[in-house]
Amino acid sequence: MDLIPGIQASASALQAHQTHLEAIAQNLANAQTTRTADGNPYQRQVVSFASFLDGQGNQSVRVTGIQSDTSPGSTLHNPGHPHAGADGMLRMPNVSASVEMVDMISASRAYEANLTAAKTARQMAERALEIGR
Amino acid sequence: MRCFSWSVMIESLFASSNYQASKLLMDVTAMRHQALAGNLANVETPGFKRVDIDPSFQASLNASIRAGETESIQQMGVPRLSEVEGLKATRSDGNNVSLDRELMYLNQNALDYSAMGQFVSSSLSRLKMAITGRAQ
Amino acid sequence: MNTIGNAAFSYDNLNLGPFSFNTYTKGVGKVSPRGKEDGGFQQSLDMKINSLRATVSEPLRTEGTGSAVQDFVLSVDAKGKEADAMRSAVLSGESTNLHQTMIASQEASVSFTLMLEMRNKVMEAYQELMRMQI
Repeated sequence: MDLIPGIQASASALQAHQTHLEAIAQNLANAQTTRTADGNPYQRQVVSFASFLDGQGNQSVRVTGIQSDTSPGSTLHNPGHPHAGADGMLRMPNVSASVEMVDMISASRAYEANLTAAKTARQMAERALEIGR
Repeated sequence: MRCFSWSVMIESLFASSNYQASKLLMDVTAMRHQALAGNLANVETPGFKRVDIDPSFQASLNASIRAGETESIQQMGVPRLSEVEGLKATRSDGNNVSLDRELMYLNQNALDYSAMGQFVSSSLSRLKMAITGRAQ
Repeated sequence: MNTIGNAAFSYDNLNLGPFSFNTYTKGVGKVSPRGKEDGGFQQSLDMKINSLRATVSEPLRTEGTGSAVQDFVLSVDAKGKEADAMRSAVLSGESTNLHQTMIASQEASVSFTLMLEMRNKVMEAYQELMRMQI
């Protein structure tokens, strides 16, 4: 199917890491959301990957699910806050900015690397077309 | 007087062991790129083990090239891809793909592919020159 | 036997396909105005024909498919068909082997060029023979 070698694997990885970056962006945006629609503070979203072998023998990757991280966030003593509990403790989301930033760095590095792989593959195919010229 | 088959002449045109080895190596490097792209795609996948060309294939190809045996090179099929042995996991989840190393292999491999293509091209244009006596 | 002025020659029927020398050798026996130089000319013609015999190791026709030239053309054609098959596989999406397809079409082109050049050489040689001064 592909004249460009390995393009399916690279394309699947670009999609998967794009999803991961979107989840990280959402986590960072909601780092201070103390109440969501279900009444609880925001739960950090975690993306899980799995590899699969496609028809052409490429080892691709796909997102198998986006789950909430159920670990509890920190609680702050803030009785004046409208979302604080009866004991004056305010439950915060379990999003840590440093963890998210590290995840973001590795996700964007992976994205760039797969972009390089796709570009390199295209260059290889173009060199193949120049055989004999 | 030796019997002379004119159809064998066509095959003997392309019988140089270096030329056949370059053709085979184009296949090998293309397949290796596919393996490396798959490794890079799974750089964040838990428990993934990197995959590469079987080292025994490269060893036997090198031996055939050094000995100059064209037929055995032509008989060699496509190489197998297998999980690389003895590689330590780089992450706690068992994934042993290192992004920088994979990128380095990818770049080297792309250059190998271009080099083999160049070699094949120049062999063919030299043949054409020898046949026609003209540069083009 | 090979006396000057005698139209009959005892050269064998050299089976060279389209370049049969029979027609030429018969003409050499005509009367020539130059005296004893003809003997030298005849010897040189002898040597020329013997050397040609040495280079042509067998007649152009073989048993088997009936003609070695036909074998040659068929093998060049086979290479061309192989290249065409690979190209159509790429076009229909069955094959992803771009480099092998390019190499196969280049090899077919080289084989065809070889056939063309051999044909040209053969035609040149034939025409040179036709022009050969008696």
